[in-house]
Amino acid sequence: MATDPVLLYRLQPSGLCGYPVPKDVWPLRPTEYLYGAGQNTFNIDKKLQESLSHPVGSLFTLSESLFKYEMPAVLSAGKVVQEELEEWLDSFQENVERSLNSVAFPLLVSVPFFERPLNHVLLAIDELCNNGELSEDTPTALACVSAQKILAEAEEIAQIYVDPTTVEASEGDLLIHWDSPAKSMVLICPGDGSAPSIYTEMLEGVVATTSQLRGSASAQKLSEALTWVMSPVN
Amino acid sequence: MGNVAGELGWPPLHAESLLYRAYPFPNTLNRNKRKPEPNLFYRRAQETGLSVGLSPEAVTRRVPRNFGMCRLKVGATTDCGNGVLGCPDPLSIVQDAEDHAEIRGIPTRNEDQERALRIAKYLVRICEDSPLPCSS
Repeated sequence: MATDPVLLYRLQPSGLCGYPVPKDVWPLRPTEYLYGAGQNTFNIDKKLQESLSHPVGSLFTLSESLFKYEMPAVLSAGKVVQEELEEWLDSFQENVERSLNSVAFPLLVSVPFFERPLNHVLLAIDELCNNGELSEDTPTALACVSAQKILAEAEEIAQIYVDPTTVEASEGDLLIHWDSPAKSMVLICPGDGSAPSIYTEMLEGVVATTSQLRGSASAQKLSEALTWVMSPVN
Repeated sequence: MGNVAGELGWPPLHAESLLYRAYPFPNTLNRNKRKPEPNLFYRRAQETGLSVGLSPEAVTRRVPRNFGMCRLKVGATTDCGNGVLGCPDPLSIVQDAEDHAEIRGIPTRNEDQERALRIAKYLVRICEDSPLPCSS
């Protein structure tokens, strides 16, 4: 009796990563390179394991041996909560089995993605700027426009693959955080309309070993900083 | 002694003491990460320090309309060579009432954006979301 192949997704209990990315591009987290298991599982080719040198955020070709196709993928350090993934998987395919075993490491996931990744960031900004509740923290129109403008310009330079960790308002300013395990950056768009600045830090555990604040940030600087924060530490 | 009962009237908090900080708004907590957003730890110009309660009940008494709270361990000043809260930036904790203290040494973002962000992001990393006390 023929049986349809079952796609087995193993999810890491602490959550998954990897959105948003362009349509038809598969987002992977670094640990997902390392492990493939089970005949019914997407096997990760040796070729993929060898591709660990790919920096986070860069596109590469993922070879899938079981179904014999190749597709573009991107290594992402962003995170998506597990619930969101499970919801998506449920709606995607009924015959998805999921392992929440904390010992088994994740191997490959397909996660929600957006036609235009930046839309997700812009939506978060829009929600903060136009939520109808005015407080001393509500970002000014100048801060909102400034953030939208520099992000759109930065995406012209290099596509923004990774979602921010936090988009927050403080005393009229808009602050957008991107965090990876070893690096962190914040785009600060002041409420008075002055030029944005970029804060960056290198981490060792929970402690920042170095930090830097650069004023008068341009789209080019933002693009470079985003590439930097998602690049692996040597 | 009465007029010095603020900063001078209380002994230093024990290293194992816990500090609790209320979430003033629903969006102060990132529910996915169960961590507060960094702006919980930005000091405002009108504040001398970050207000913290010494128990969950104290926070609820002082900030009755809160959306939860997080906790931080005071820590010993000798921990890893860092200061209180294990923070490499010098901070101090000043108890000013039986159930209340302030974390001092945090600049406003206007005073020192870099340090303010560095400290806020550090505090987010080390704090833990804390359950609300049961109502009596």
